[in-house]
Amino acid sequence: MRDLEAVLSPAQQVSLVLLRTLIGWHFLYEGYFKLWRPAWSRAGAPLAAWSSSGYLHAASGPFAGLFHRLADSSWLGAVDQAVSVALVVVGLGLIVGLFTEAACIGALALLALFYVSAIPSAGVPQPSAEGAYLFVNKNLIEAGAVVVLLVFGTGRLAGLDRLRRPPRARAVRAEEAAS
Amino acid sequence: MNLTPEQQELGRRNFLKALAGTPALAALAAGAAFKGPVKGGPVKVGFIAPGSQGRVLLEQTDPAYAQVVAFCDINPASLAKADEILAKKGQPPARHYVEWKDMLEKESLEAVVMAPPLWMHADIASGCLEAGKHVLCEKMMAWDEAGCQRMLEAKRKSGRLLEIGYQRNYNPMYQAAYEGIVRAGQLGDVYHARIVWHRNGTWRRQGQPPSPDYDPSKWGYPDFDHLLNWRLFWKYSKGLYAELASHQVNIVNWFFGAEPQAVLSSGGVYRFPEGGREVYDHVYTLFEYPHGRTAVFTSIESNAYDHYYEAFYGTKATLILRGETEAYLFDEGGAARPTTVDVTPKGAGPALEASESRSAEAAGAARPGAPERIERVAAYRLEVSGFCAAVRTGKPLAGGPERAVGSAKACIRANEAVEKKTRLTV
Amino acid sequence: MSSFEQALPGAKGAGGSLRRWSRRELLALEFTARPAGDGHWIRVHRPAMACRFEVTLSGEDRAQVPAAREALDEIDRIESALTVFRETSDLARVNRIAGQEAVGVDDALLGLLRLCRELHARTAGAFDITTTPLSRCWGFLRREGRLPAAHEIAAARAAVGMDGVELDEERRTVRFRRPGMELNLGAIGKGYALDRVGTLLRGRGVSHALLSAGGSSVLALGGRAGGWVVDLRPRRARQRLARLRLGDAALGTSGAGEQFVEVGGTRYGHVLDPRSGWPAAGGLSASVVTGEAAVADALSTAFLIGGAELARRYCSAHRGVLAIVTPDDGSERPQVFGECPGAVLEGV
Repeated sequence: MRDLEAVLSPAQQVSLVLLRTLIGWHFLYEGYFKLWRPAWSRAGAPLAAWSSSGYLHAASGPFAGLFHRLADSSWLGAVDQAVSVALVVVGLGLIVGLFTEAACIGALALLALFYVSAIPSAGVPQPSAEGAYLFVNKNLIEAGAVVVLLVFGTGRLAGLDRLRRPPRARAVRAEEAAS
Repeated sequence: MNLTPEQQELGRRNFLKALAGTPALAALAAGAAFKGPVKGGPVKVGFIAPGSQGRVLLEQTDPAYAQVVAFCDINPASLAKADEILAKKGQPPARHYVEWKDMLEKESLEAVVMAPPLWMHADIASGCLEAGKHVLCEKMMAWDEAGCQRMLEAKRKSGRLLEIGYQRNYNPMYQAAYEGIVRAGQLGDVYHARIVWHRNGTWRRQGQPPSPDYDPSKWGYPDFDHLLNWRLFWKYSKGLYAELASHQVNIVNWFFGAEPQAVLSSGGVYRFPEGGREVYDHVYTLFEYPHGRTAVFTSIESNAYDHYYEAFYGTKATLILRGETEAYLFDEGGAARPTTVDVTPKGAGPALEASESRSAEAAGAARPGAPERIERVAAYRLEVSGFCAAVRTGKPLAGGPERAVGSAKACIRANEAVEKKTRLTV
Repeated sequence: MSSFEQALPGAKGAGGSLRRWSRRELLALEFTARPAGDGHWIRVHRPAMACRFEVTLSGEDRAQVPAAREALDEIDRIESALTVFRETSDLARVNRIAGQEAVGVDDALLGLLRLCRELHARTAGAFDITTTPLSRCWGFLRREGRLPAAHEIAAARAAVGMDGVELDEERRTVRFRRPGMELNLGAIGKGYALDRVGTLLRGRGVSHALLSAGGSSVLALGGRAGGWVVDLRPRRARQRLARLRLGDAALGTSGAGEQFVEVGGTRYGHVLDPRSGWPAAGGLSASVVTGEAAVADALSTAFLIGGAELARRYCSAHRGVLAIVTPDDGSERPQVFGECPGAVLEGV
């Protein structure tokens, strides 16, 4: 990891950590907000309790049938809870840079799930959504950014992962101690 | 643990680096906490005395805003009717109480909605406030001025919310009229307002006691008729001034931004003296406001042609708000055609339905069957929802007790002026 | 908002039927529910031009009611200049005198007449403001439809045609080349008035408002959250034909309506085809979405007369025009042509 710091300029390092923090916050807040409910908006309107039901029902693409079945199943409550917790855990991991690789993989798994449930194939603006998308939407772009975080191992640039000793280093220390 | 100074230094640096993301996190979290949502479900409310007026509020209570957990009423028939409303709305039943104090003791309520006879307002509202409940109290605020002051004092001490049930304050048509027309100067200077509430018929209600041996005397009503027709007796009521005029005086006070300084009244029980009716069936009052402004109120029970309206006569134009649903604007000089302002609920439908040209008489906007105007009862829904939003999120109340005291004081004095046949200062 | 590429399967090219579609593209992480709000429309309206002129504001824009009233006052002024029902109007003066001598007109009227001439040319004569003699001969002016004799139609046609209207740009005058000619702006006046008022409202700082003249001319200013939702529902249609979301766009609609003449079991609508002298046949309704309400208004009349064929030709030659043409065959299946920035078409 020292190599990475040697290779990357300070600006490059800061950019990568900033990207990680932003994506982490996006996940964390989405999950937090779902767990936070029931809640009211500041403007004074109650926010409906969150459920993935509507989203799953609206799913399209190759796995639409699976999503629809899930939406109608008795697991829905567990799915809602699992998605919310997963978003929070992934978000926290990315922000503080702890188990960053695992958090990145988790983020990729979630984004893949969201992407395949609604692959934009229409290519025209859709009601209640801004912009026009064909195949590439913001989920896919975010997934691409997470891949960058993953391959750069940014948890070791700035993050609690620095406090975790790499397993190999620990093994070397053990040998030293023994000798 | 033995660490070399180098290791200690490395560990310290690593730790600082590891923490690098934390300030950003803290800042973002703080930002979100300031602007983010407010945690909490629907406000837990109890209804006190859901009589005819209370049932309107109950019907219009949106379960997303308020969870109705208990009812209390000294008339078992009212409790049964309230149950029916909840059942019809598909909501879980509420627990029943006879005494409001029992309900407060046994239920963990956040707020109460109360619509008992006027003479009980001050006792119950201050009791609820003192018990730490937020209170939405039907109009008029209280039977006398001392009662109003008692409620204000209880509100101040408890730090809880108190709102009085003037649904016009929550009616989008009135809000549009005030902000879009009155405050925008469209009327010019307004020296005169006319507030009218004319009906044709007796106010007396017919009904059977809930059981043959029902005795409400321990609550201060010698017989069931006194409970059912409490509006007709001075002990419980302030007659047409409390039930009708106070709504409209509340609007004039709002639009004028002032309160009456004096009142000049006349009236009497002219048409329905039978059955021991005490409150007047015809009343006429001139409310005098500062800076030479007046509002004339008439309420009669012998002709309904005029229906009910509030009209503001300005130097540039006249605004008429009729039946809580219609707004008309007539320019002085009469050259221009009258402008109508309708306020319609957005709903799920389109903002407009387009077709080949429709004639001037045909509805211009809404689709066939859609409401052309706001429904009168929608204002009650907005009132209950607005109250709950204030409880949960601190959103300001549309009316508030201070304005309600103003109209109550004026109406109580106007009633007195009928009795004394004279001019009284407020 | 980006322009709406008409990519519905079957709706490309020759103009297939509107497909039913309701699938939404959801941003994955953004599955927050819409808060249950109690929004309201404020509709400020007044009768003008034999219909209801209306400015719709969203509840939060209530402070703009005075601007809406100013807009309606402006409509009154425009009407008094353009109506043919008042002897004193500018247009009535033109109709009275232009047969004998050139009549001076103001810039606004000259500009409008220029636009009418241009639209007449662009629609191969389907849009025409000189058809009053024909309407009179078919009895539509007095709402007493009748089948005229062939020589009556021929006589009326002699006094019809934009080529008989001479605009002198230099001296800003109008003159009729043939006797008996008359101008009537019924097919464009409402849209023109909305354009004028739209400019006025924008100048007054109104960014969101929906303007309507009798439901047939609509001008959308701004439009929060995906635009103003406007349903297309001709009076004789059993259901809505389409739903539009409009943001800074105008919609014009024409239809056969309810005024018609029935002769020998055949119904003739009150919209006359200036090219044949007979009522236009076969259209239930025609709607046009484009940037200017006057153009939308005029084109909707032209496409009702010229049918899907004219709409298709027009939309392939002119950008920024979305046409929805529904034949009167009982199917109520609209055909869609072209595209317009700021307008999104949804199925039923």
